[in-house]
Amino acid sequence: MDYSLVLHNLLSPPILFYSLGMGAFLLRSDLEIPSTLGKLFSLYLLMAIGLKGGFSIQQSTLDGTMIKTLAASILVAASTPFLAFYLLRARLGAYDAAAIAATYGSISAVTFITAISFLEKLGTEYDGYMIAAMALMESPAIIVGVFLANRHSKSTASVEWKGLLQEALLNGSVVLILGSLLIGYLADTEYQAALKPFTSDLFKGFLCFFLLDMGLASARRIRILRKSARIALTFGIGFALFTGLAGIAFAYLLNLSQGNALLFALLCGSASYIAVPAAMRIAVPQANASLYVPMSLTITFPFNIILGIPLYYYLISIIW
Amino acid sequence: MTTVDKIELIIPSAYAQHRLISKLDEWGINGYSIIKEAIGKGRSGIQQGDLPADVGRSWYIIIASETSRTKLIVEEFRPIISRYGGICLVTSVNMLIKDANSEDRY
Repeated sequence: MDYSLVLHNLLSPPILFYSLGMGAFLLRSDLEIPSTLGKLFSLYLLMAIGLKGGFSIQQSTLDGTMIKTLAASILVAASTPFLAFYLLRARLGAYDAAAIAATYGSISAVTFITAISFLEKLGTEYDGYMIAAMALMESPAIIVGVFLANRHSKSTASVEWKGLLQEALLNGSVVLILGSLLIGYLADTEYQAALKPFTSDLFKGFLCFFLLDMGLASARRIRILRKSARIALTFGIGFALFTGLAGIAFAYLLNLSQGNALLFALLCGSASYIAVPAAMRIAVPQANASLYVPMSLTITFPFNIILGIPLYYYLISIIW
Repeated sequence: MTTVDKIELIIPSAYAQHRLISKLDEWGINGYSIIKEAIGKGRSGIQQGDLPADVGRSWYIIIASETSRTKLIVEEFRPIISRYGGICLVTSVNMLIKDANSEDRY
C-alpha cells in the first residue's frame, strides 16, 4: 500500500475540515453552522459539479464506453439493494433491511465530489459523463428499496407509488445535478470562461465548509449508533468495501480510465444520507431512521473519504 | 372573546411539505400557521435537522378551529400520524382578536 496517498488525502484541507468538525463536537465546542447555510453549500456543490460535467461532455464525443458506463451505473444501483436486503433481512427485519438496502444502493454526492477534488489534486483526468452516472444512480435504489419493503412486510398499508416515483426521480439533488449538467452542456465557451470562478475557484473552499458541517453532523450521531454499533460497523464498512471493490472490477471490464474507475468504485461503494432517507421517511416510515442515516453518515462516509479514496486509487493504479 | 380549539400538529417535514398542505385545503381548513424546521425527539429517535434534506425535521402547524369541527379535523390527522409519526394536541383557548375581514370558518 502506498501510504503517501493516504497521507496526501488525510492532509488535504477538505478532510482536515471534516476532522475539525468531528473534533469540535466531541470536544463540546459550540461551533455550529446554520442549517440553511449547509443547504446552500450542498446546492452550490451540486450545481458547480453539474456545470463542470456539462462543460466537459460538450468537449467530448458520445462513445460506446460512455453509454455502457451509464447503463452499468443504473444496473448496479438497482441490483445492489437486493444483495444488501437479503444480507440484513433476517437480522433487522424487512423495513430496516429495505431502508438500509436503498441507502447503500444509492450514492453519496459529497463522497463523489471529494474524490473529484482528490483526482484534480493528483492531476488525474476523469470524464464529465461520470457526473451523469452519479445523477442516474441516486434514484433506482429508492424504488427497489420500497419494492422490497412492500413485498416482504405484513403491513396492508399501500405505497403511494405516484408520489414516491416523483420523489425518487425529481428530488432536488437529481433535478439540480441533471439540470446543471444540461446547462453546462448547452453553454457556449464564453460563458464557460465567465463561470470558471464560480465552478472552479470557489469550489474547494465550499467543499471545505461543507465537510466541516458534515463532520459536525457525523459526530452528533456517534452516540445514537452505540446500541447497534456492531452491525453498523460491520455492514457500514464491510458492504461499502465489497461494493467498492466490485466497482473496480466493473470499471476494469468497462475499460474505464483510472480517474473514471475511482469515481465508479466510489459510486458503487458509497451510501446516501440525503435523498434516500428523505424518501424512506415517507415510503417506509416504519424503518428506523436512527439506524440507516448514522450508518451511512457516521461510518461509511468517513471510511470512504478518508481511506476508501486512496485505497481504491492505489488498487486501480496497480491493476491498470 | 370567542372560545375555539387550538390544534397543534407536529408532522415530519418530508410528509408535510409535499402532501399535508394540499390535504388541509381539501378538508376545508382555510387558515393555519406553520413553523418549519422543528427539531426534537420522537418515535424515530433524535431529530437533528442538520442535514441538507428533509430528514430529521418537522413542521409545527397551528390551526384555530371551531369546537364543533375539531373532532372531524383531528380524525383526518389520525391515520397520518399513525403512519408517519408526529403528534396532535388540542387545547381549548380564548381567541382575543380575529381578522374581521377573514372568511375563514374552520
